[in-house]
Amino acid sequence: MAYIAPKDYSQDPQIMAKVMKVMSGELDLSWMRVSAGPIEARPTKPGYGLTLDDINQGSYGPDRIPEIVRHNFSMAPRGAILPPGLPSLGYRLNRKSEVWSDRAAALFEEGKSRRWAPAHDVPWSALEASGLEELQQVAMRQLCTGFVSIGLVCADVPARWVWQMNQEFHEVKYLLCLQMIDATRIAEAFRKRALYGSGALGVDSRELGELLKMLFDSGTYPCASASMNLSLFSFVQGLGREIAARARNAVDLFLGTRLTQDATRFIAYGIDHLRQLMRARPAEAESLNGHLDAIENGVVGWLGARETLEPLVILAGGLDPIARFYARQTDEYFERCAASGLGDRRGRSPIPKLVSLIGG
Amino acid sequence: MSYYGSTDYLASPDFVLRMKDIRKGNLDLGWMKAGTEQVKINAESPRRGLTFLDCNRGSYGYDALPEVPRGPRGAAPRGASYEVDAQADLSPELNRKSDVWAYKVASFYEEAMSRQWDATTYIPWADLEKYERPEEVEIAFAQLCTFFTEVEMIATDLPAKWMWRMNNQFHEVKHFIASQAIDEARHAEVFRKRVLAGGVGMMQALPQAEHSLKAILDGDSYSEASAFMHLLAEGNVLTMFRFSEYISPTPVDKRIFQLVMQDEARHVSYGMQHLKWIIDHTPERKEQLHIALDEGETFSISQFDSALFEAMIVLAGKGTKPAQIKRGIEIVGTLQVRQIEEYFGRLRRAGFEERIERSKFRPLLAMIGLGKQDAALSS
Repeated sequence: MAYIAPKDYSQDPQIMAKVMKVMSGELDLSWMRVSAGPIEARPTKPGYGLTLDDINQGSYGPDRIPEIVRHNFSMAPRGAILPPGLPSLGYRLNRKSEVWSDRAAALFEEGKSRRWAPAHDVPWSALEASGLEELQQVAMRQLCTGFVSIGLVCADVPARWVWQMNQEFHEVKYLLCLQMIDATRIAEAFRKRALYGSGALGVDSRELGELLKMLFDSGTYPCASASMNLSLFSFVQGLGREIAARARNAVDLFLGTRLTQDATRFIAYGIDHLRQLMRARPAEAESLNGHLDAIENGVVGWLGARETLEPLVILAGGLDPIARFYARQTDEYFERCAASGLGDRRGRSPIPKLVSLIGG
Repeated sequence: MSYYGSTDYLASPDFVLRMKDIRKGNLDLGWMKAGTEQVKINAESPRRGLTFLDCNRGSYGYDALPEVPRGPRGAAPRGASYEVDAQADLSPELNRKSDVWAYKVASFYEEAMSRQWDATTYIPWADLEKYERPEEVEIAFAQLCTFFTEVEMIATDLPAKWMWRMNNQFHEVKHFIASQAIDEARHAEVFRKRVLAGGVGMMQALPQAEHSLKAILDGDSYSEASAFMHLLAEGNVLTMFRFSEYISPTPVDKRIFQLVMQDEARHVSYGMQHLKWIIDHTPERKEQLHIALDEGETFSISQFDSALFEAMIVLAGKGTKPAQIKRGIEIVGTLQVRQIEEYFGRLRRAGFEERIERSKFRPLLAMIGLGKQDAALSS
């Protein structure tokens, strides 16, 4: 055991005496006289329920969280009374700007309200008449194999960081838990899509694996967030739109639409998180841009991998629609980078060169 | 300290040539010869939908997963074709099935996904003001909910701490852990909302409980931390949820506890089934688990003297008058015994009955004069 109690409480006469005192009816009750401050939060918009924004008032809200949290390293809820003797749980993310987004609470609320379950919300039987030829079926299953890998690793990325975040940032922690389940659902849904009927998974893409390892092994949380939420999910969102737009059956339409919807939340958090980080600590821009230079090399590898590009070409009926899709998605991505406060990345990114190679 | 890949793609002649080839319409299509198993998978129950149980076939299934899946260390999904030497190694640390696996884990995940709920809209928050809540009862309830807000996030942080270290071959477990993370975030959310909707505000954090949380988070292995958290701590919390539903001041509060209970029961079941899996497959690890639970039980006992204990007494007795306190003590005393009884029951069901004789709770029960019930437990 890494953390050992200072004494064996089962043999501690003091504890026993206290228990016996209470059990005999002698209560202290001093805790009843100390509250952190009254509040009676109510839903402000009928029909919306009681949201996190509704309860975020005064000292209970995030506005008073300092940039550097120095007062609480325990799991005590924000705004609670902190008695002496609270231990440190060893959090390593204690700067608000490292993790914060003002949109985290709303995105968490949205994610919950748009939850879906692949087992029974996807109209699986529609695949009995998929509308796809055999070659296209295999191509779709290959794409699905990639999405399963993406889902698996993108559940691990928030998991790797969430437990290191100070509890004062609980809205962000909630959102990261939501990301874990959103990414898990991507892995689950596309695995089931690949296997349904007389199905099979395809080939693991080395290039995709390399990109995912880069996200997974990002050295700081802002770097991990930028790579996953902004870079990867910008293209995942685009792929979701492509799948939905080219769907020949209700399952692929459903999956493409939901993938787009869920990916949008990752992007929205990523942009707002980075924007707020850039405002608080503009000097971070260069290290993040340097990180994205390398990540975008990984994106180039993934988008150019045979296991990604060739199935897309088969499903679209040629390279030109995919070249246009890559170009469009790259433009959107650069707009998001600029909106995040990272400046114009076009000149330094390798992605436009890939787009030119493919576009001819 | 980041990883930036092994290839600069645009500087790689092979890669550039590949793009030019594809531009000319020359597709390689090597990925079409994946050589992976083709399986027949359908939803066996249309009402239940397409579950992981339906997908448990051949090389894709979890039944065929060996104790040590040798080879896969990257992001390749189980059953996909991959090259051992070419995969990007994610350096997973939990590579034995018995490190993480639990009987029924796929079912637990599917259940979690089908029973997601929303703390914002599933609770009739606006109804809270319809019910009269004596001030001292509301204060005690605020203390109870402050405690639940405080402890619930450990059950996201601890599994998250281990999830990314697990081999992706165990995806059903990883999926279950992700579902637990969102469940527990929702629990922290619903209790926080209840505290802040009640009028009193947040009460005090509990140092003794926090030391237990730290011990859980710092567990030496996933299985030890799971035994402490899923089985012991969440088991205690599950009993408290049941008790709290019983003593809830309003129907709004009862609704909260009904919803959180179903999630918590699933988490405790996973812990029990993980422990059972370990005992059935790697019984040599029993002593390691005993040591973890020795310490876990010690930490649990340390919590008996907190404000929480008194808050539960006030709630159970519905006030602070002597007769109410007396009644509250009777009910809370029963709860304490029930917590231990249920914990022992779970140990028995997990095949770890020998733990009961060694438990730190036995002398405690005897010391606080509950030896009679303790004797009944053994039988």
